[in-house]
Amino acid sequence: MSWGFLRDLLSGVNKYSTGIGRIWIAVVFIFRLLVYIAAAENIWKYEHDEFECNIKQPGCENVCFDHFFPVSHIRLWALQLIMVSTPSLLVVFHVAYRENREKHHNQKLYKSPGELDGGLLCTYLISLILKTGFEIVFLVLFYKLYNGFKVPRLVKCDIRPCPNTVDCYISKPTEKMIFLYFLLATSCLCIVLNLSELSYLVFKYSIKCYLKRHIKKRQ
Amino acid sequence: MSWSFLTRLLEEIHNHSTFVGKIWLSVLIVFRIVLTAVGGESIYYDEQSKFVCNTEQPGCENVCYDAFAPLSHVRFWVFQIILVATPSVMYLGYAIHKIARMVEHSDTDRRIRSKSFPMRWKQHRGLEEAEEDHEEDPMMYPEIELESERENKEQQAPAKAKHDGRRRIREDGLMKIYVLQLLARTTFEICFLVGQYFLYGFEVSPIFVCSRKPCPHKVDCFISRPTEKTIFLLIMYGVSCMCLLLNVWEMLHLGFGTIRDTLNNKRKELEDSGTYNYPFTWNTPSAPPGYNIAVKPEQMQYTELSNAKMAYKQNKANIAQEQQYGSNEENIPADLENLQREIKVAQERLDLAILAYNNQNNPGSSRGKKSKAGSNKSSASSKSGDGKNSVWI
Repeated sequence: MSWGFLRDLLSGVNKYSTGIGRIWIAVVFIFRLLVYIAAAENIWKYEHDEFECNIKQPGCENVCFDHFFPVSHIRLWALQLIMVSTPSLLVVFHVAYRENREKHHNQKLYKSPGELDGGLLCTYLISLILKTGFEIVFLVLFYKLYNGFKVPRLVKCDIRPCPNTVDCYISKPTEKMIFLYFLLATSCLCIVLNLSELSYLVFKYSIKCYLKRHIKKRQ
Repeated sequence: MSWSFLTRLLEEIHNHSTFVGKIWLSVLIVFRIVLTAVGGESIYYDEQSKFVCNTEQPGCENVCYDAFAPLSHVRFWVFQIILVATPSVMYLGYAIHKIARMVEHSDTDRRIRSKSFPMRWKQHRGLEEAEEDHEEDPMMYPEIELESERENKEQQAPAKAKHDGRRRIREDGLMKIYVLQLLARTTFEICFLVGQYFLYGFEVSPIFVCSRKPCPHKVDCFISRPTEKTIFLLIMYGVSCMCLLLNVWEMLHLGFGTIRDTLNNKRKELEDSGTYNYPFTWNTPSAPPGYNIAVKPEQMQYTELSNAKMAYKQNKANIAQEQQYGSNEENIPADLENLQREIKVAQERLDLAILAYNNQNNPGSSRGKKSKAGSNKSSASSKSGDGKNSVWI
């Protein structure tokens, strides 16, 4: 699976971020992406093959597996990573738009196209809010779909064509639970980083505005 | 599955697209390719091995699987990505080929033009100057050769630079093909969306009832992970619609932008035609080209940009005059050095005019500049007037 492009995109984002933004990128890369590729993918690789039900009825396993795992944990994890990295692209697009405008008018319109001021600051704040929103949505989804972050060892299933209530066994439940808690912890860390960056930027620019107005009043 | 080749190709396309085209490309890469790779490989790898039918009849499962999925979702999406990216790849090939040819042509043109200069001047020289030819020729040719070498190097640099953006595409004459590839892309998207609907609908049902031979009767076959597959199917529908909307946006963006640019070009042409009227009014008594500018500084709002533009137009007009009235020996510079000196003089006069205007409007702040103005005046004093209002440019 080639994640190289995502790496390239994120390193482009690195240029236009604040300090906390860079910490966020590092956390996403090392603690989430790398862990996903190196460890988590392999745990969930044969989840369907190793899901066994105490019955010979053909089709019962398929149906029970589908009922208990409508979307697999690992797919939700991957979707979360993609959705959370995408709002940073908004900032990259905005900077590209600014450079385009400068080229188009052949004049220096901005102090520097990559500097966080005016419209770019708004875009950056919006991307932060979107990132936080996506993280929270996915965490809530995880919680709702799987009744918390626990992975049971045994599930009971009685959907057609299973003739009666059947015991089905999930493979590697403890390992999956550990990694799910790890995912929860890194998501919370990223939410905290995003919120602190948001409040820092808002605080910094409101102080700037206030000082400007104060100086103007004095003059 | 190795996607690196396709992603590298798409990066090249990135350098030859408009702004919206770049967004489309990013969406294509991030959402489509990644999602297909993430979902495709992990969800569908066991789609046949876990396709179970409620029968022991050998061969029944194979036949029923084939009836259920004549073309698997993943293969369909891969096919879709490749076909949708193909018009851009073909446009890329065409653009690179055309730009390379343009660079060659401009190089040969420049060489031909620079070689013909000394030929033209020799025709216009009188016989008296023929004796001086031998001394001046070695001066001219090395200059021209150096210039053409420099221009070669300059040309190679832009050939490797990006040819992106709506303006650049139009300048290079690639607009028609760009619009064609955009239309092809949109058509393919629509076809695939419709095809996906007719082939798969909006849902993957968990049970498939099959009664093909050799299955003895109607058999229930169970599909692995149907809910997950349904969710991915719906996500891919959404991504296709998003790409289609981006294509439509790009067409609108090109359309409005082109209309705006043609309007701006028409306005610029009308302005330009004014300066080129001078050669036709040569015989009627009228002020020389720069007089009006020097005399009415109070009425016009000057910015550095408009000054530079006017100086450029005057220089163009001057050169146009000199080239058109070639038989008039007073107007043609004897050689290249004279031409360059004339341009330098014109620029010095322009500076004087700017200073004169500034002196008029800011008498207090121009004390520091007066000494500079004085030194300028002394160098160009042979040809300038009193330096205040009536500077001949």
